Amino acid sequence: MRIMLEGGVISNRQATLLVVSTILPTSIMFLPALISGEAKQDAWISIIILTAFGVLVGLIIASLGTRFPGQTIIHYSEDILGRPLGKAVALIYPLFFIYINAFIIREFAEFFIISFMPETPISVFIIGLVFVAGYAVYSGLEPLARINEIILPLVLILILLIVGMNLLQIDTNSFFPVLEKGFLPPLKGAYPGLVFFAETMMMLMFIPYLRSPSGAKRTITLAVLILGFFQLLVTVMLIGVFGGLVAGMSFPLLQLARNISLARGIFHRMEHFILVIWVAGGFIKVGVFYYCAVLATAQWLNLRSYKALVPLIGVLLAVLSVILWENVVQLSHQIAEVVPPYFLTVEVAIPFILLVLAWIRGKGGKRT
Amino acid sequence: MRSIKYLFRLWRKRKPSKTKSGTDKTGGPYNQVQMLSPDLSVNLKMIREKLGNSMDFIIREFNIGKTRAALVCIDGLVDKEMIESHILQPMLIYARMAEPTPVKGEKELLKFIEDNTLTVLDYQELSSLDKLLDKIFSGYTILIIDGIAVTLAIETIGYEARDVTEPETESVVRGPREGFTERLQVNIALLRRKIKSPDLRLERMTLGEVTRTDICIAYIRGIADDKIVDEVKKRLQRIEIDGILESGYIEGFIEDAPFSLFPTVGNTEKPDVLAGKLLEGRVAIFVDGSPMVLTLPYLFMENLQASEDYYSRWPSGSISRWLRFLAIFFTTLLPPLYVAVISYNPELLPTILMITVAASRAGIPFPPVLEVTLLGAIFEILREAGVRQPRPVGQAVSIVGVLVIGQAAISAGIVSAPGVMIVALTGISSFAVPAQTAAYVFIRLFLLALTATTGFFGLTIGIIILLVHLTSLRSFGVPYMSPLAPINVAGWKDLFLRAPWWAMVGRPAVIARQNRKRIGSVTMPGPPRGKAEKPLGGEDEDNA
Repeated sequence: MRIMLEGGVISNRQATLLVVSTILPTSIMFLPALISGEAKQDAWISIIILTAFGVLVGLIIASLGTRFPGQTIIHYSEDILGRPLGKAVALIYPLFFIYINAFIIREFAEFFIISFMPETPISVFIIGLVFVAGYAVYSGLEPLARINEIILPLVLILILLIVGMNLLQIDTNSFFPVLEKGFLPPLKGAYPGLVFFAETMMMLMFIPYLRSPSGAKRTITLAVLILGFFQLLVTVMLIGVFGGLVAGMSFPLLQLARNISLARGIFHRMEHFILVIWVAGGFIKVGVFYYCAVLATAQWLNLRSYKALVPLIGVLLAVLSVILWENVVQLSHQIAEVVPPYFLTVEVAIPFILLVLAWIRGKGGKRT
Repeated sequence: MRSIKYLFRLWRKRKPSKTKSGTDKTGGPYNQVQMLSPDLSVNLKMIREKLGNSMDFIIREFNIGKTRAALVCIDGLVDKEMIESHILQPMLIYARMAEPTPVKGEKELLKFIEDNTLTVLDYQELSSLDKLLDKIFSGYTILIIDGIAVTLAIETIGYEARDVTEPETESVVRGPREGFTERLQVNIALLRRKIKSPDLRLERMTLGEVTRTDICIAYIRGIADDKIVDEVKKRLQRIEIDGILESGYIEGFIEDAPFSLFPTVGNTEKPDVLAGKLLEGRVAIFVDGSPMVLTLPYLFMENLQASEDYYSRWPSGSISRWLRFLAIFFTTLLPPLYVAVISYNPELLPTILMITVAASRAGIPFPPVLEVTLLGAIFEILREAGVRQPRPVGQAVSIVGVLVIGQAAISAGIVSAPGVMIVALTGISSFAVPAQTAAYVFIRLFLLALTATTGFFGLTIGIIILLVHLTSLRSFGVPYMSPLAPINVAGWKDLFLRAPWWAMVGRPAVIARQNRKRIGSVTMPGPPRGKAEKPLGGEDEDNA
């Protein structure tokens, strides 16, 4: 029997919320602009396509995870592929988690610098974010899931508030004509979003710690649907309010928040408070991938405890997120154009191949 | 964090060698079981040896018929009148009258006394010296009879004690006003009067090698989670200390997070509050000599609850809940927010307000952080000075505080009016939280420090660190932030609201896991349905 490493157990609802938190904070900030570039006023169709894709990926992930109860991908890739090859494939995951996390941390730091404190050195934000995330990871899985239950509702309420307060400014003409150039633009627009919606693969590391692992499919699907709903809401809102301008904005949701002016301008500049809550949301996202990275590394190395890895990987994350990219332009270019094929391979293709192989070779129980 | 723990452990390890020799001397006699002898003079000699030359120690020797006997007790702990009229008198007078009754053998004499002469309700037979000494110090009187190796410990407790009064810590407008006292028996009786169920379990323990303090664990069997009860007992049994003077000593030994700023063990001074907690499935620990009764497990939300919420109607209960939420936010976040806005993002303020604030801050030498920290420190000093003073002096303290800080400092241009306002509001808010703990002062300073370095970002980071800490805490296995995290929507009825009683169907899910339902099939109250049942005095009468 393999060492579980994590003694905690999270409920399926906590897992659902964790999945939402893992994807939402960045997707809702970056996706609308990326999608609108290609899909224009049909961006909302892209979101629906993406949600369907997300559900599909979730089902693959959940089927794979529930086939091997009590194990993560690091363990069962060896079962499926044999020891040397399996170990090599499993190594991809800790590295991937570290790399994607460096990405996310940098995204958030850039976001904060651009829209909030342009003169502060970026390392301040990076170190701050990595430190709190590290503290949460060090405390364990259960506190991470619990703190998410406090922060995510705030994030969701905030999105609803932003949407609600701009409701009157929607111009319905912006949505027409629907599918002006056929289905191709919405499909093309959905492409950069695939990476985000495939992040449900982090559940590969979490399924063994669910209170009822057999409910993983429902858990992930529900999470993707919640996610799709909010993404759709915001996208519709952005198209309705800004029309074609969305594609040119770096953070369209922030612009939407800037639109708000309550009580004759007494409450203006609401976006600062939004940023505060947004950092909290980003912290969860970073924390989840940080946790995945630490756990995956510890399991790959067959360590007794993952706690010693927390500071090591934290330093690595902070350094990587500073040195890997020159500036925000390079960063967004990479997100939109360079990384998707690679990320999708790790996030979807490998788990899918593993699932097929497991099925063919008859590895793993049917369902527990 | 870890290194601190390590240091503490090192320190602890060295300590026992020092205290061990100390406890051996004082606690030693209790350690070996010494049986009593049948010879009265030997017994008395043993007791005298143990007690030394204590001035409050009384031995009264007398005859029961032809047999020699003695009463042993401690002056001041016993009710002397009771001993005289209910023990000595029957022994000396009636025992002689009953002497013709055939008494064969020594054992039967004891039985005869128990059955025919002793006019006291509660007594026990004892045969070991250490138990005997225990009873003497609890206020029992010991009857030793020559030729019998068994003694009678007779309950004659009667010492001076404070009456049941209204506690000052948890005063209420509506609700019972009685509070616990220093006497364990009285406290337990107060609780028994509230909960008349035979399922209320009261288990006794003795802690403290020198003080031998009586402890009582109270819970309602069938409601309290067995695992929690067992865990409480296990942790109490681990305690090894020379003395327990207040329940705080025990709290320090059984809490889950000794290094945390947040308490994981609650306390109360009121029987009605305690009864409420027990009915929710909690466990209580009474400590003789302390009116503060510990309640476990203790959750963060109990910071926001006051007994009166449950006694007044639900709208007012709910509103005071919200006010307390607001108070917690104010007392921790107001100074950091002030600093973040003034020093980093003044554009957040509406333009007119910004101009006003800027004008009042013009010419102030200190940066906002220093201003708020210094004023905060002065406020805490004033508060501390006021607490320990007799009431008239306390008023003088507050007048000086108001005049010096409020007026002189502003007009002298040392601090700004907004700064004083912020600190005053922070201080007032800290009084509005029912369970005042030092935690809030530390949190405020911690957040202030972070905000002063990186503005809103630092503030956010600080809040997240706090949240991570709070969510990682557990009190006796129960997540500290429940029902907020893990989310338990049914529990919100007693967190964000004080829902009407008929709507609060269940006990807190995380605490009373075995027995959730607390309200029967009674649903929402209302006037009787159907016309025929309408009570007299309705509209019909007016019309007629």
